[in-house]
Amino acid sequence: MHDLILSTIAGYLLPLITVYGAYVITHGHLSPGGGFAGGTIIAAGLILAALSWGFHHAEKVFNENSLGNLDTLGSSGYVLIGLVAVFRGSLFLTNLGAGFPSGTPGKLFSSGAVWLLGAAVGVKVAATVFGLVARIWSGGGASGEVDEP
Amino acid sequence: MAHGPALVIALPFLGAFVCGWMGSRRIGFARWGAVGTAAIHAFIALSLLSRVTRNGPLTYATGGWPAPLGIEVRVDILGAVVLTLLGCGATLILLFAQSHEPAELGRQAERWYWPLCLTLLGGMSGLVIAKDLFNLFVMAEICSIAACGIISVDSRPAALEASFKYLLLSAVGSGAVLLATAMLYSVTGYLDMDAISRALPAAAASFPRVTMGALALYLVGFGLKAALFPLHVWLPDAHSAAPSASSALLSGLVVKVYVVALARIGYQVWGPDLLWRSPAPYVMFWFSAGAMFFGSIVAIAQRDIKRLLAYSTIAQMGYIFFGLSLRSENAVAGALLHVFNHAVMKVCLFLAAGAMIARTGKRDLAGLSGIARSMPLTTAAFTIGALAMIGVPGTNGFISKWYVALGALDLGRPLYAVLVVASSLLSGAYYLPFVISAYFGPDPGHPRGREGPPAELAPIVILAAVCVLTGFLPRFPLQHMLEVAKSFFALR
Amino acid sequence: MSQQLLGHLNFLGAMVLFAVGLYTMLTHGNLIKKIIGMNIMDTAVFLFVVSLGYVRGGRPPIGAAGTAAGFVNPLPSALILTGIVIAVSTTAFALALAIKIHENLGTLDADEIVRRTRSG
Repeated sequence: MHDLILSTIAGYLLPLITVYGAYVITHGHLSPGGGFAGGTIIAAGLILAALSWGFHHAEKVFNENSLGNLDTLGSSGYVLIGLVAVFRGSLFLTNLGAGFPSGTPGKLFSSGAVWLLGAAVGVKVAATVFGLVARIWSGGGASGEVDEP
Repeated sequence: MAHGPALVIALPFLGAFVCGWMGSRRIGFARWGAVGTAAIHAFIALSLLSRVTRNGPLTYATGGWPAPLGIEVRVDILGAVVLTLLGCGATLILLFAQSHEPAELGRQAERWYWPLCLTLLGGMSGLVIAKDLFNLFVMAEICSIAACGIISVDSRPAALEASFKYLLLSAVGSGAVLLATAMLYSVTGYLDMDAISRALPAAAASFPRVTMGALALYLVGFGLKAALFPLHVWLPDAHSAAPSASSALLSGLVVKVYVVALARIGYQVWGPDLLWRSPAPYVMFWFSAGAMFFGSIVAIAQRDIKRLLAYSTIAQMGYIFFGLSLRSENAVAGALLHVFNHAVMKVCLFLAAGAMIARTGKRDLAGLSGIARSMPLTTAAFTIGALAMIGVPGTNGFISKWYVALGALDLGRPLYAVLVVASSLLSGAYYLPFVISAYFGPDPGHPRGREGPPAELAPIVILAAVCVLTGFLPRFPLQHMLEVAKSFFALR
Repeated sequence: MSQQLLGHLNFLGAMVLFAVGLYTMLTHGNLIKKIIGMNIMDTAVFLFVVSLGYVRGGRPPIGAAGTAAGFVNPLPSALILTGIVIAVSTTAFALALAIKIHENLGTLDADEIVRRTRSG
């Protein structure tokens, strides 16, 4: 299933889509979007590329192993960032009160932990959505994985 | 342990992520990681219980944002007791599972089993202490997906079919719950339970149909997930096709947390006055009366031990809903106590049945006759659990049924108490023949019939001991539940 | 009456969609159609909730701090984003189950599945 037009266009689009997804993730605290929206955009780009080049190409980079690593990084990263506040003596998931730097409001590096949490969600969502499609494409795979949104 | 309320939710999820990640590398790590996480959860829950009983309810504002702006969780006495039940129950079940499930599931499926169990534990903990209705919905969803996962994890066709049915029906239930939450939000403007409960009398006066519709949708949604009688169709298949440890988790713990959620919505959000102005308790009353008889009568006809236990769950859930639908402190306390007691005995029964099935390879009642000679301790524990189900004095089941019947007498309806007694006698009709045949029936020569390893036997024996202990010394759970029931009726 | 209905066209649409979804889910034998029905039902709930927060002529609630007047209520949208995530994961799980069922039993028809699991 190789189509010249599809694979060429996908080659041009993949970096653009990925950069746009990264933009949406990193600007989640300033504009609409955020981790979930950006993560799905990146996953959509990867799925487009995998569909036009074949999933076996994607396997080289995003196989079950590396997707599992990214998944765990994102999801446990979220919980650990929440726990940082607990170790600093504030309530779970506290942001500025737990000493995360606030930065300049309106600039990219602002809003303390929200930025980090958005990035964790983005990594998690991109890996999970792509992993779901890849597994269903390859015939079901493991029977279902459950994630917190 | 000031952070206990956040930790009981966050830790199982973190454990699930790490166990899922380590599962493909070192399965032993995932196995013991799951047991360890559940044990830590039980420890936190116990310390929360001792704190809450001394200092009163503990409210925790996530991120430092208090309600109604932020999302709060609150551990009250009911929450703390159920959290303790979840933690200790899950620890014992997982201890049983780590010696039992590797053989039953196989390596590939086992990898996913431990993270799913921990996800389920986290979801259940979140459900019982959520103070925010939307959080309640999210946690209920996490529970139902994880529960479907642990049913179908080994990809047996019967389990797949049961899991699919459960998933679709619980999706209907979640749709109803979300719709109800949205309707309440539209008339009150809040998602926080306390804020809604303050705003509800005014809202119910100006929008009676919207609030009534929301209550009906909650009853259907959580009733479906908790297998209230006409909505129970998914339960027998799901609970009997699942691996043994999953059956214990599902039948013992998962259906209970939805009851707790429904009790909270009924008594803490609506409050008894508004609740009894709606037809909801009366509907629940007739449904649960149907459940007590339907579940028992169908259970008599069962030939498979796990299906028998599953139908018995429907009947026992009937008692719980029956008690909750009576406007009496004693009945509600009895129902909440039965949440606790039924969890203990059903987990004990399912684990004992799982051990018998694993040793003999037989699931039908006739094939298990004479099992007491080769597995005396397991059969003794099963017998104690069965007697507790019937409600024989000296077991914990007697206490909770007694209080439900007492509540019926408080209302001046002795007929209701007769219903409870009659249904108890019916449960004797399917438990006793099996117990008798296990002791005195012919032994078809169980070839591998020996007691299980200590890690498998210990949880069963401990649970049976708890059944008897709370039967003779019911003070600890009973006192708390009476207090909870009093607070339910004291609201407003 | 008709004036009232037209004023709440969104609620009417949500009700119709919910009924269509539930009907599809409960009456069709094919598992994939059941999953589609489940999604239609979820969409109905999402439509209902999102339209609760809509303010006619309201602005998106982004940007500088100021009065809350004239803004669309962002909370229902935020809730529904979570709802969509849950619906996606439920759908993915249901599809994975359907694939497994087809692998094991060779059919996606609900009655046929019940017949084959009972017999063997």
